[in-house]
Amino acid sequence: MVAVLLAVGYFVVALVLHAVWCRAAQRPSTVVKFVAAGGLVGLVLLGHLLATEGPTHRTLAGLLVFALASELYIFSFTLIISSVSAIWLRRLYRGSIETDALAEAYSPSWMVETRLSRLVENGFLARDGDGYRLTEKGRGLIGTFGRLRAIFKHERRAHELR
Amino acid sequence: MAAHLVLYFAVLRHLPTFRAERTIFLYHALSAIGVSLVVVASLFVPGSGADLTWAIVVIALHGIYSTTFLEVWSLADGGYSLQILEHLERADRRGEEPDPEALRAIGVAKQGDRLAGLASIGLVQQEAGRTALTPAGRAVASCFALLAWLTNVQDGV
Repeated sequence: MVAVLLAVGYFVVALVLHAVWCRAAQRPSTVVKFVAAGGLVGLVLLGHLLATEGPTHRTLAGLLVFALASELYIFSFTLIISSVSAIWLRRLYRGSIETDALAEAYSPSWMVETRLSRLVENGFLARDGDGYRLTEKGRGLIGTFGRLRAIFKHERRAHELR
Repeated sequence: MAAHLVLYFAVLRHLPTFRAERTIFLYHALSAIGVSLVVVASLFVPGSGADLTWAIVVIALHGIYSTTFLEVWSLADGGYSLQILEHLERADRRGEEPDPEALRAIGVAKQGDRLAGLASIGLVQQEAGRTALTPAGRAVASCFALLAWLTNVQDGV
């Protein structure tokens, strides 16, 4: 159990480092910052566990708990950034709002603009005059997810664009 | 876990019902619950050789496997940003200007019955034209607010 408690402690350290980095600089993206900070802390945890527990199943348990906590954390913060429902819940946390005003404030146009800005920030799109153009990174992403869609046998949804 | 994955790729992914989010979630949730129960129960079987650390290893491994699978499955199903990229790519390939109305249409579809959905699972309540959080919604939203504070999210919410 010591290994698991150590993993929890190191995860808290990774959270603190990530929070500080997110306040200190805008770039790179929030996910990349956590992967870097969490990866570094994970390596230190590995060294600590090997020194105290040796190459045993207790070391493995500690590393897996750290990895699971990190993955759930990344999933959670990407959810609050990108999910419309999560964004609405965060807005309502500040107080109730007229239903029409809520739908208007977080309109489809706002959603599109927010996504476009984020895609530019992350290098998938580049501004081109009044519009946008795909970067090589963006084309690569489309190709990757096209292959994944074929693997998972996803069907096109009715609202998807022609 | 290996059998779970092989069964999905060899058989289940070809079934229409396994293209639904709810089915794929249940496929993983039931497996995770089942494996966890078996592992915990084995701790109480004399001579099984299982200990708490091994139980944690198995449960954490399943957690990582299922979370990763569901994230990739869901992203491949067509996130909003991905649909925007695909629309721009299609327009570029055809030598057309991207259609802002078509982009907005994705937003309308995504926004759809979101509010009704949140109300149906008891997170928000609507009264006299106003929307507010329920106590359960406040608990969830406070976790989201903490995450937003930790990651210093600046999106104007």
